[in-house]
Amino acid sequence: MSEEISRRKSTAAYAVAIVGTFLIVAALVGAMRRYTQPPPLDEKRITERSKALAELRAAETQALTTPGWVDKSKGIVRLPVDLAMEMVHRQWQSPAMARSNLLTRLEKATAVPPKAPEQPSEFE
Amino acid sequence: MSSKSAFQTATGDSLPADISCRWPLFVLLSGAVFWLLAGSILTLIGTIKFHAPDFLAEPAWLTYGRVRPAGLNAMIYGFCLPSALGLTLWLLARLGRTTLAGAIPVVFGGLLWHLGVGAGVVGVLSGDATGFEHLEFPSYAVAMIAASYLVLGVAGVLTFRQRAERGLFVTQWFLLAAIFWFPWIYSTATILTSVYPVRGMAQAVVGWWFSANLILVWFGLVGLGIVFYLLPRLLDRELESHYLAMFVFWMLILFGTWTGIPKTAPVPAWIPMMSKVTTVLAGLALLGAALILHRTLGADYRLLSTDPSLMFAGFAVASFVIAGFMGIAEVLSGASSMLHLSWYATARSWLQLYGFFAMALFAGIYYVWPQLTGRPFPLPRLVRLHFWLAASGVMLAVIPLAVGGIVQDGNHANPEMAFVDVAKGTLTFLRISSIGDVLTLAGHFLLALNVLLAIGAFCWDRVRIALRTATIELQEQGVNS
Amino acid sequence: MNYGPLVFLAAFAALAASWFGFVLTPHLQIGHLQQTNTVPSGVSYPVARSGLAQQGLQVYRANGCAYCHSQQVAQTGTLFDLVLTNPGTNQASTVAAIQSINPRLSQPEVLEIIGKVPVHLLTMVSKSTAEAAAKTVNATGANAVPWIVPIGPDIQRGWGSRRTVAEDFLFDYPVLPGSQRIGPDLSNVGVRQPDPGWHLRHLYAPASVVPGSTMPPYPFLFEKKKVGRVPSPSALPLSGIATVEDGYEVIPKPEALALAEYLVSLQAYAPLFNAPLSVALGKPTSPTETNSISISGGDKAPSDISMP
Repeated sequence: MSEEISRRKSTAAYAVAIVGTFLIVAALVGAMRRYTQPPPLDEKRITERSKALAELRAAETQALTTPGWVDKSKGIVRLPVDLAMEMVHRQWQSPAMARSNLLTRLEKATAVPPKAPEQPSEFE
Repeated sequence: MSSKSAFQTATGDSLPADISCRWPLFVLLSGAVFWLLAGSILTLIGTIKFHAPDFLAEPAWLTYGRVRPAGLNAMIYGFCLPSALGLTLWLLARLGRTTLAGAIPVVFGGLLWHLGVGAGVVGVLSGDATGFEHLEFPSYAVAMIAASYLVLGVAGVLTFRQRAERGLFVTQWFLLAAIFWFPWIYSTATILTSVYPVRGMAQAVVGWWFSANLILVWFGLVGLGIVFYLLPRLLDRELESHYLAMFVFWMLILFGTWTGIPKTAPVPAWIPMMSKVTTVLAGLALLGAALILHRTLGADYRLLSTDPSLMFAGFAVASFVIAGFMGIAEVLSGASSMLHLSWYATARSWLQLYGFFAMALFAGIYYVWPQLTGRPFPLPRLVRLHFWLAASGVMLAVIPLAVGGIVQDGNHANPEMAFVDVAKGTLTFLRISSIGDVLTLAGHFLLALNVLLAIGAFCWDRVRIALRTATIELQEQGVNS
Repeated sequence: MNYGPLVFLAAFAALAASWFGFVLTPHLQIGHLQQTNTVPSGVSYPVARSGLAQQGLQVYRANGCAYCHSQQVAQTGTLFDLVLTNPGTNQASTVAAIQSINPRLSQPEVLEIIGKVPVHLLTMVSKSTAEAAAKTVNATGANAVPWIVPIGPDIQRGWGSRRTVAEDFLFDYPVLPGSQRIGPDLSNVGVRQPDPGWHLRHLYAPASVVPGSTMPPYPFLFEKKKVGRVPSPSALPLSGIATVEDGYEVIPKPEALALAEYLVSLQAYAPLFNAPLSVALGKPTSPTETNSISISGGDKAPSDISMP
């Protein structure tokens, strides 16, 4: 009986070995693919595009997270929202101070609308 | 009929090898015969389109570009491979004087194989073909076929291992090499064309490499293996000679493996050139095979007619040799010749696939089947009729196509001739060749009829014996009480 | 004696050898190709097909077009033309030199042709002849250059201007080079028939645009339906033997449009280092312009029909 079991075991081991030899060339193909796969055809384009994207993202992040001048002559700045909120909060700690030049600041911040055309357009 | 006839050697008592192979081979071979019929019907539908282009044009799944690969793949993967594997298992068991290892897994493996072929044929017809010749089956079918092959192949090698007769007959060389060959080429080709495809034309080179390895080398190994077993068996003499057979084996695996790249292939020139040289060198295997047939028969070719299996086998060897030389002529034709893109190439590959391999398989099936069931085929006359239908069918298909291909090539080389006229010039030949297709199809019906009746008779025998035993037991019980 | 292991090793060694030769090496060579530049204009070649054409390639695969159509133009060799690009200033000696290399030209003829450079002085000669003739002509201060002209029946048939090379298939999956010429070669069908509308009509009813065609029709790529209130703008303009009954029109399905787009994208004539041919610089290249071979045969059809 034990002889029978050991015979079966060796047959099973042999069967596994045979499957292994059947797949030996598949393994070769796998190795070939792993070590000799050429870079994709559009690799150059992929690197170029991802570089451009990274640059764009960096510029956007910079613009969103740091204050800076937009137009120094007109006194226009860009401000991250939380910084702006903090500034307003600080300013209104003394309401009198904040109120004193409110109108001037408002005027400065409000763009002058363009003059109305003298003659209405013929389409109106 | 000679005393060595397959029908008469098959006695009531089957050998242990036959009994263990019975159900596995029933499954493999009867499924194969089904696909043989399906494949030749699909091929015929494709051929009719050359008589009437509008024939069955409306359904997408019956367009020429789908029925043609579906039919060819049904022939190769549905008929050729399972019947070749079935015969291989039987031969390994019989020559090793042992029984088939893992008969029950093989039955299920066979079922899975035919299921996989069904999925593949339906896949190709529905437009899922991969586009690589001889590898058209979509991945879901390939997975089933590959899984099934692992079962059949392991059973084959285990059967070989447990053989009681340690000395090897040359057929065992051929078959053992073939058992390993198929998974090696099939896995390479499938992975590199479908799973992780290589880039550009490298895919096509892998595909051509696979085709040559399947059609020339694998078919050659199994087909010649079967023939080299049948010839001495049925003639009751030695194979002349074993050394020559070994020579054929070596030439086939050394040179046949490098063939198959067409000369106009858009690849670096060394690849087709290499292929050209090896195609010529593989001619040595053809010479060897021809010499073996000639010397084993002792130059008396009338001996072949003593048994239908011998007739099939002799025809197979002749086709193998002729197809090989047609291939050599193809690669050696002039630089402006496009024979490899003409009907000549179709004729050559059909001669190799059907004239050689399918005929060798018919020889094997007609020899082995009666031994499995322990009784001759129910309609033995149809076996000879099948041979004549198949032989005339192959010749009627191959000769007009080859001639048509040569005419086509000649016209094609003349740029003054409009292409429409070149194409029309082949139609007559094509139409003659479809008569050949009809004849081979008729032969397939005869084979199917015999196989169906044989299985029916076998099962009926079983039922009758069981009934009789039961009756006797009942009677005995009646007497006793 | 147990030969089993020997058979196994023999089979493995033989297969491994051909595997290294015909699987690994082509993968390392062809599989590692990259985009290259055309010679001499230096344009990137090949470029990926458009998305619609890539879908069309899948329609081509699914319907097995490659079982009748090859995409491999063969080339049997290369010959040379001698092209005069600049007649120089010393007209008399240039004329004499041209007459000495091509005695069939009379003096007035030579005078006429040197007025309209570039002009082919010699056609289809060997490399040495062309080079020697170039030397003769150039000695007079004129400038004549040998042009590379690929030859072969396929090229004479107008199926391409050079042989097909692996680069032409670089972006394709699957590659479909075909194995039969039941129909014409399609490597350059997009050059011969640049109009997708022609391809659609051809797919619907081949014999209506190519008289005597043996190609089966592909009605399943089209939808035949009743004309609505207004005729569909995408309906096929059918004529001749392909007309449908009154009140019906034939609309190409998306597959048909994709396939036509793919067929139009089949244009493999760029001059490459490994498939050289000379083309006129500064002009759009196409096979009909790049050599002086007459184009005949093929599935030429009336070119006066076009899609609305």
